[in-house]
Amino acid sequence: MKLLVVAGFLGSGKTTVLLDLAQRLTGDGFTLAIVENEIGEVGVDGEVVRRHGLPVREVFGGCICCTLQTGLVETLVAIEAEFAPDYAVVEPTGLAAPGAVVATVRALMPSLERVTTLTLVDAERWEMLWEVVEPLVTAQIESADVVAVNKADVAGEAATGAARDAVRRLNPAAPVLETDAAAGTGLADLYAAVRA
Amino acid sequence: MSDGQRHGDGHEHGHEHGHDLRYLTGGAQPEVFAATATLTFAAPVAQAEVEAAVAAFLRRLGSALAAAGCVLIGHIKGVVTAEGGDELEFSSTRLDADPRFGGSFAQAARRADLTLNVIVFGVEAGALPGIVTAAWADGDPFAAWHIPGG
Repeated sequence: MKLLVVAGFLGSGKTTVLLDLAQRLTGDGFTLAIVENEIGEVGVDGEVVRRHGLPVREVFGGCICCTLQTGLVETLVAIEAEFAPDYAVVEPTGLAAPGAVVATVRALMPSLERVTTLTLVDAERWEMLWEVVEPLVTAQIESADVVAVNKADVAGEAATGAARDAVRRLNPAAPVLETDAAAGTGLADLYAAVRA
Repeated sequence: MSDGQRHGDGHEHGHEHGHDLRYLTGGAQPEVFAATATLTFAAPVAQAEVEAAVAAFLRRLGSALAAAGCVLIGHIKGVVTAEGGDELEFSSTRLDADPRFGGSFAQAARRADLTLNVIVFGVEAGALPGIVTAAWADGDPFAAWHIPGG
């Protein structure tokens, strides 16, 4: 089983991208299971994913990068044992530092064939997020294998360029793609990048 | 934050709100409201009416959050599930624009269930449930909220 972590700050478009990637994976014949993590005691994203006909398990009431690390690993172990899908796709809460998630899962699930972290960056709100939550956004970018600067179409070239430049400075090794998930722009290239 | 968990990258999470992010968020604490509500309408409502009601609620909520010192909208998202199973989802990250909607109501509904998640920064700890439910009640005083742990 391969693990794909779709990370990024709150409202950056994680669920929209996850749905697209999941549909491309199933369209290419891969089996998958999705794990949704919400910091609140009741969640919205799981309902949205389920409405699209995708299998989902939910981890509520905390963050899988800290308080719910054990819950995530238990969920992934159960998924691997029960379904052995080709991919487990995890959407952490937007407050998660994905590096902590990946470190724990790698340590406790050596059977995983591969772990890929995709981080979404909200180009439309880049300046504000950098001002208020810079350390969190930095942590999310630095631990990414692939970065998508999302909402590029609505953000405009200046904001998108600022986000793209910051991403390249923070994580020079990661491929950086520009997407607008709500409009479906750039998602085929993103799919190729996360599978490369 | 003696009850927190410190990770290898140096950030620390405590349990005061389930996710204490003072290191990662530069001191701005996230406040979380996650709850469900049963909505009962005097007459069946169509999708456009639900969308208008949600948009109006978010405008009221935005004004209240700004007055309460909110410095950043993390994410406001929700799902309205009609009695027949139709779902209408909404998402907003800014209060100067209408929310993005997905899904649809194929037919008008007299009753629906709302699931709502609100995560914001800069609001006084513990104040968010009162702000959200008051903003909703200004438009629909008949909603019956269920707030886990509340």
